[in-house]
Amino acid sequence: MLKTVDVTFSYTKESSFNFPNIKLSNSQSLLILGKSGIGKTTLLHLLAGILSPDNGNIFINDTNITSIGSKKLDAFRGRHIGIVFQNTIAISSLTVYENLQARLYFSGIYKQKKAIENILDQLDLVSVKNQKPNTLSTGQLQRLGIALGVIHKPDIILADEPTSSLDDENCELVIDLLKSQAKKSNANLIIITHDQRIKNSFTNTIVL
Amino acid sequence: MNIVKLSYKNIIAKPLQTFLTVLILSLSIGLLLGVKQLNKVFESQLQQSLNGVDMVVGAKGSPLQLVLSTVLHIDNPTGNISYNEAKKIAENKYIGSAIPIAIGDNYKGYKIVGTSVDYVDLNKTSIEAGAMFNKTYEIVIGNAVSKNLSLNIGDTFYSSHGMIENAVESHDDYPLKVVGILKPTQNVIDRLILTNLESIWHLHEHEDENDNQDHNHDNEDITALLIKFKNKRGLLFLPKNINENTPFQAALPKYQLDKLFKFTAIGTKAITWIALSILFVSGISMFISLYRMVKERAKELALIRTYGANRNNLILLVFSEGLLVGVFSFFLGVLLATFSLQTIISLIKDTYKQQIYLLEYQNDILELLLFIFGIIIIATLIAIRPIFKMDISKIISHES
Repeated sequence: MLKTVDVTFSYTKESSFNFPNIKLSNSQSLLILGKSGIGKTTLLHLLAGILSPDNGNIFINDTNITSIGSKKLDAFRGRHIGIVFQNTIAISSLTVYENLQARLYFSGIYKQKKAIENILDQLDLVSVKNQKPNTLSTGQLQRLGIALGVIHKPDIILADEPTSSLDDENCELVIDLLKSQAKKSNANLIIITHDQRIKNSFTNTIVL
Repeated sequence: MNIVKLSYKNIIAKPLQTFLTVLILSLSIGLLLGVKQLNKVFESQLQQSLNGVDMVVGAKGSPLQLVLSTVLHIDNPTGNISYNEAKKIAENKYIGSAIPIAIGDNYKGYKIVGTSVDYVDLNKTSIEAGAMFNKTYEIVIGNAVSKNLSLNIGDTFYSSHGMIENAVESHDDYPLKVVGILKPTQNVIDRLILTNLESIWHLHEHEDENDNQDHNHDNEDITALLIKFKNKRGLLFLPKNINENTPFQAALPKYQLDKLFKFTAIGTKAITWIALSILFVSGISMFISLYRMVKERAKELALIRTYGANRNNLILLVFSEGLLVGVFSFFLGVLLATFSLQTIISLIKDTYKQQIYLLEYQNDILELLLFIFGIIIIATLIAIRPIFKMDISKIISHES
């Protein structure tokens, strides 16, 4: 469950973002569409607790993430929020398998083997599990990004421009993967993009 | 996966940089530890071997050579002096004890010293097995001599003339008989063969005359007198008096060794400064390595924050990376120092027949470990500064 109330944020005194209120019940998905510079990524970072709003409140389940301390927020983010980046970021010194281990470790999940095997299987990464990220193809890297965002079964999956650099076929594939993973985790899926190709894949859309 | 394992993976992912840091850090640690220990052992060994001898009276020449040859037995003597004349000096009121020594022969490289029983007391040891020498050609051997040459009570051998092993000029007609073995001291006496003065005189008389043992020893020579003063006032008058008014020279062992230390200290200080400079460079290298890790992997560190890690976790990650490199280098350095020291000790044992033991080695290791730990903490504290200023949102936005 996600709820935002009157969230505003400003980088400078001159310009300020006023975001629409969002209310999502369990496992609902949301597409947030908007042009560049409209504050899409800022909103994603606010929802992830990476940025703090100037005003307003953000509730994830029953926790107001704008009012908890820094360490608790870090732990909360690690356990309840998953982020999928436009260009996958992974730890370069670790293999695919170890990256997933590290993801779970920092989320405070120490029983890892089964979860990792499942996600590797679901996202077709078994064959590259011992490879370093820099040896993966674009598609494999994209799937690793999704795996890192969902392996800990978060309550909210936030995806930032997950399809913008993909062709139509892969665009559809990634959206399907994200949707199926969100469904498996019973999580809210929020995709922030300017990519108009995927607007028909979602019934719940906000245009910024 | 945990923070230490992640640090380890980060380290091995940059092998060249890690290798260079480990190489210079372990080299400087090895050098520092080795030089410090060698200096300590060298000084202690020499000071210990003085055994409170205040003054040495011998033939004129280099005072340092006189001390080295008669007190430490690591050089050739300056010459001989008349025993009768030397005895007159020994009667001086400021002198507490005066022990004569006559050197000039060896057995398989171990020096034979003609002296009195007081020499054993001076060296703070006593008989471990057998008895003290009593008659001519009876000898008492130091503990290292007994062990290294497998000599036991009742064994006999022929001495060689000179200070080094020499099978050509041996006193083949007059066997020396082992009657006693001394307790170990870790001092020079462990590697000496002791007998009375008469034995030495007889051996050399026979060498010249091939005569029997009944001799008048009124005009015999000794190498030196080892003197302890009754009180320190003797130090004020006697050396000057002897040097100016007799054909002998008086050398002060402590003064001569202090001079020697000052001379050798130039070398050890230079090596210590070089090692400290290398250590400083390796500290900077470690800092650069950690700082680069924080800067170049900012994206990955920000990613880890999104995984749920807090700032302290990142600091711990940097610190453990420094610690792993530091600890590995430290053990490599200690290994290097220990191996080198053991090699040097073994060489000294072979060359000087003297067993040397490392002194307070564990303390030195612990001291250095704390020092290295300090360097790691300083390097980490400087390197983690960007973590405090880290803007996760900005880093992720720019990189993704």
